[in-house]
Amino acid sequence: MPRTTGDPPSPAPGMSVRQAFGRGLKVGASVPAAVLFATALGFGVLARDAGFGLAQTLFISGAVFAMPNQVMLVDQLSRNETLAITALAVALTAMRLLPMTVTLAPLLDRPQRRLGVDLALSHLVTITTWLEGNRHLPSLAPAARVPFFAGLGLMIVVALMAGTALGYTAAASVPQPITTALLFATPVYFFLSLITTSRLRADFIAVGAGALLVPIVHAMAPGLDLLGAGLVGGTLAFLARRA
Amino acid sequence: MSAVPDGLAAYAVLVLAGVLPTEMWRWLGVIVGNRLAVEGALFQWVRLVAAALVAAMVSRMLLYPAGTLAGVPWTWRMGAFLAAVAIYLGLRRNLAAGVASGALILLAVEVLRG
Repeated sequence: MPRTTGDPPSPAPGMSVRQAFGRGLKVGASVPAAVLFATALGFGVLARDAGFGLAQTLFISGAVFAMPNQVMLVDQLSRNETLAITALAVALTAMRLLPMTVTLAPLLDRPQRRLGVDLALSHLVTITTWLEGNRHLPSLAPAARVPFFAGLGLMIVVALMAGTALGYTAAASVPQPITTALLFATPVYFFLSLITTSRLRADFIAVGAGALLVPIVHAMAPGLDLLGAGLVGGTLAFLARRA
Repeated sequence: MSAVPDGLAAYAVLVLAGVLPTEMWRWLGVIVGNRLAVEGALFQWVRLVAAALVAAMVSRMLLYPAGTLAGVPWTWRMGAFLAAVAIYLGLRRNLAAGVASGALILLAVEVLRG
């Protein structure tokens, strides 16, 4: 349907910008928000255990907004790693956001794009919103996609920050065994998520080598265990792709 | 125990060590857009290194924990972890059941240890 100049951008037949935004909020508020809320609880507990303040912890959840990177940041700093090494580990963990942003961009394409809006929208790109975006955006009219994605992302941000705040504050008042169990849940969740998302043999090699190389590298050079195991494990998996 | 300095300096550390190293990839994705071959070898390597790095982070958190988890003997940490993986696989890759059972096993261990 050709659009005449002066018409307000119509998202879809029968769907206004507000409705598309609302639908994004609704999609975000179902299973994805519940899962992220639960992992954010664990992150809140972890950040408190690592010595961060509540405001600092909420800042990390809102401004980083990518759970593996948040845990990496908190875990590295709590081990008194230097700023440069911490930034390197976070950056290597976050590299996966580049192809994710690139592949999501065509779905959010529109006639008049503004860089500021695109940069702001890109902050909402994380595993959860990427998966849900890829699932729902193609079936929406082009003009409904940006408000939908904004609604989806906003709901996920709210869920993440609410879970973080609750986990952080609850950690002070629940009995110690529960805190310890919640601290334990975070690494278990990440490991099982890695297995769940692994499709190719190389994915499994990356996960297995990354995990198993840690004690080996740790015995040789404790300070290099994380980056050494990650870089060597990932590269081994890469080389084994077609072997 | 304090992982970061107080006040504004703390936020400077968090921005430099956490926010910018994350956000720059999103911005780069917007700016370079589809001029990148995301199916190419470079991004396969990126994906695998990121997966290995998170696996290494998990391994380090369980083997050499930085905080309260260090108070749990490593045999129990590993035992609860392996049990969680076994339950996850046994229940046809049920993520929630795996995580919940791992946490419950550790909770039971901690209650029994006193």
